[in-house]
Amino acid sequence: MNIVVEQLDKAFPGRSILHHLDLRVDAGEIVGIIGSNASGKSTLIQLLSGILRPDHGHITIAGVDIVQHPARAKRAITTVYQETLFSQVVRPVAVLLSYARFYNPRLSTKDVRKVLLELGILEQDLRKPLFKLSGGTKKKVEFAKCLLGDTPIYLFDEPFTGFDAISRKMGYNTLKRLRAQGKAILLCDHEQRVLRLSDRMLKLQEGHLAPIVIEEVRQKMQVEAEVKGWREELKEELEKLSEVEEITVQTAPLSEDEVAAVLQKAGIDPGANKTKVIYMDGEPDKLLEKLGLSGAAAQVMRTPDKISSHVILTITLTEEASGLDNLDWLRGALTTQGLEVLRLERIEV
Amino acid sequence: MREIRLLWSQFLQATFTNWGVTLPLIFSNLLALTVFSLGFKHLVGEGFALNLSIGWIALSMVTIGIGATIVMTIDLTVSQIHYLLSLPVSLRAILIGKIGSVVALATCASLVVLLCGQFLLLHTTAERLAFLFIALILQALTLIGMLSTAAAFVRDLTKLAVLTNFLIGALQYASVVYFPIASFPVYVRPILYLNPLTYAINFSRTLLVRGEIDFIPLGILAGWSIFWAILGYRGLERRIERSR
Repeated sequence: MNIVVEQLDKAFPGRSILHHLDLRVDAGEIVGIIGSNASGKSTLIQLLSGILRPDHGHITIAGVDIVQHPARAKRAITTVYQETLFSQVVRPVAVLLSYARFYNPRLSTKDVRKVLLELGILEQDLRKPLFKLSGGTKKKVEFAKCLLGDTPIYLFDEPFTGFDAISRKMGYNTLKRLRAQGKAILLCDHEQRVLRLSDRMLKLQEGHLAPIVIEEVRQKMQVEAEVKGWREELKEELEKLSEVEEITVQTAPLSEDEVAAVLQKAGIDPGANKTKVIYMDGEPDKLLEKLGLSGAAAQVMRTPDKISSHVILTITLTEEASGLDNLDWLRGALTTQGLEVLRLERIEV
Repeated sequence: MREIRLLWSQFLQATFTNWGVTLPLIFSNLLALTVFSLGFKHLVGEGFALNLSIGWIALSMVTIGIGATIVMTIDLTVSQIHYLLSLPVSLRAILIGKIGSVVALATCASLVVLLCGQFLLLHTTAERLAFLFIALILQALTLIGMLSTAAAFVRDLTKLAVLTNFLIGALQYASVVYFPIASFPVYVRPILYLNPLTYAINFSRTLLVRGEIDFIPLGILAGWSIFWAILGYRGLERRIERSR
């Protein structure tokens, strides 16, 4: 079950939209089409779904010519349009049920309600006609079409515009599930991140389709490690690891116990009401004098040995290592160097 | 076939549940028939009241038929056509279903008035009522076919109201609704024969007043109905195809 388009031409008065376009989408694959606004993506979707007629060329849907046998061909397609074609004066459940029964006669109101609620549409929105719904909710109603029927071919025209992050993720998972079920999927969008779902990507420009390859640049992962027992020479040693690209070293901030010990040594009661601990660089006595304030100041100088012993390492991993889920190898590498690993975690870049 | 049945049932449901439009029209037609039949029966006798009520039965489908044809034309050319074309049905099924549902609505409007007339004045047999029903279906088909043809050629759909008012006036007054065709001068009669209502009314009057079945007007009406239905279908089809 697939889509085959051969030498497709479509023009509107005064403007050619598609020109000798060839396309094939096979079962079990997602083909992504990217193109700027008005590049002809929606026109292509409308041609494939039988709304528009081609000027020349052939469109075969699941082995059936859509011009010769439109009803048979359209039976194999579910299309999620950029803007819903449903009547705006009807409520979501009613409008979807009347549509979905063409594909699944056994569907009930209850089934449709369930799908809409699972998509995150609010109960109160189900009682409103479409024209009273927000843009995102209307898109969800349109998207629900692909969850109600079971056709071998699915066409999506900018399906996630207006979706929030959670709904978008749910939408991505739906497409992945359909692909896993062996459906042929055509996905048109102008956002590259959406098209990353696709197995092949084509660019629609000036009426033609051309394959494009988007280089997958994996985000380099950074790991933060708090270690004790650090020695300067270890930096060079650890950077030799093939998975590690760069290491930066920062002195770890004083722990509460360390601060308390210093204050006690200086004769300051850390629990007293008037005690306020301020960390700063420089000479605190002079600063207090300059400000005309009185108070006890304790200057802490870590010994060179202490500065190097308790540090926070920011380790940038190579692209290859960034895909690794488990960081045990890094913990092992640090421990082997005699370091005590207090904390090891991924950080957002 | 399942999809076509589903589509047509949805069309019929949408057409017949538009009570905001159909109820007031049916109500005013029933009221008119009742008042006319009672009033004219008292003033000029039962014969004239019968003649008028027969004309009114045929006329009662005009306003509803025109209104529904305009809605259908707008649905098919502007608001609903993309949705309908996306469904797993052919354009032919869409057009036949839409035209059929409007014909059904127009016929039903007249049928309600016919049944009311039967109760008030006609008191005729079931066989004759069946013939009347056939004449009404043919008239509805002719009327909707004519209107669809006209609407298919209107470029600016907002101007459909102009066409509507013109047509309602022409069909009502350049007709035999109020008076038998014999009441008109000979040179006017050819114009009256352009009105599809003339054939159904002539047939009905002959049937109910004289008790004779005159197949000539019924046959002509059947011919007109086929001709205009095909023309209306083609007109709408052409308009939709040009927009695709």
